[in-house]
Amino acid sequence: MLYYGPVRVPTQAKSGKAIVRVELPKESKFQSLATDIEVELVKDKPK
Amino acid sequence: MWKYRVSFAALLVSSALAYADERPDFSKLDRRILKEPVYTSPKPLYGLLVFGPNADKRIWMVLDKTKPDSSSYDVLYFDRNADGDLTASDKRLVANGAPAVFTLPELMDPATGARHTNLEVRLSGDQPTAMVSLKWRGKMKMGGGYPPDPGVYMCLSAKPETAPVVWFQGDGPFSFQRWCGGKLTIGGADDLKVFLGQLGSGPSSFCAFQDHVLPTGEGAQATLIFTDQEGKERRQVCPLKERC
Repeated sequence: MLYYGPVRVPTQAKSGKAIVRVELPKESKFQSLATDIEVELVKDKPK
Repeated sequence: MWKYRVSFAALLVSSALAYADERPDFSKLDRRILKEPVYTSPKPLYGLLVFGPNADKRIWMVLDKTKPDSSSYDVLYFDRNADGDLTASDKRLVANGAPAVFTLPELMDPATGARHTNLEVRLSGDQPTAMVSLKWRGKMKMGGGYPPDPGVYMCLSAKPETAPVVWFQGDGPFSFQRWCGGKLTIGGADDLKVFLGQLGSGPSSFCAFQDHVLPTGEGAQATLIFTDQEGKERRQVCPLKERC
């Protein structure tokens, strides 16, 4: 099962590598270890 | 530019170090097998399941064949009591039909004594790839062997030293793995999908919940950490509340 949602990348972001840190919200009854996922930010996606 | 590179590298290193402190160190995992049967296949394939918060209770599984020249693997040695001895007769499972599926109705967690049910090792393809699943504490289904992108699922190894390691730990704390990587568009809002579960060791070894363990309405939280045009670190928080 997957959890997903839109990740908004502000227009002032520089292109290149960035990190998405994924974790459970503090109010969750479950615990998580923050997981860093490397992503690449691009001005336009290749079609 | 150089400053940006240094600061971003420092961020990556510090994140990795912080993360490493909290996760078991799989590089120090004891990979010895105390006793092995004489395998029929000239190339048995090894995989390792680990249990417990420290991932230190080990269950070896080894794929074998009923005949040396069989085209597919149809025998699985499964160390169900985690004593490191694969020669006991009840540890030899034989698949019915193809593709091969090996099952155990119940498995006692070697770390906690909890009862997990519906254990299944399912093979696919010629390599083959393997997916190991069970119902954690008889309730939530988990599966180990997921890659970060659709494609090659977990392949077992010809040597114990390089066997993939799947960590079954359904009590948390949990980690995440992205599904279907891809670039994110600046000024856009691309979907990011993640599995919830445990990171293992080796390619395609993530163990994910296959049922929704989080209550309805609760999701994960993603924080995009990026640099702006002036080289300053910025953060953007995005909830991942959709599920499928």
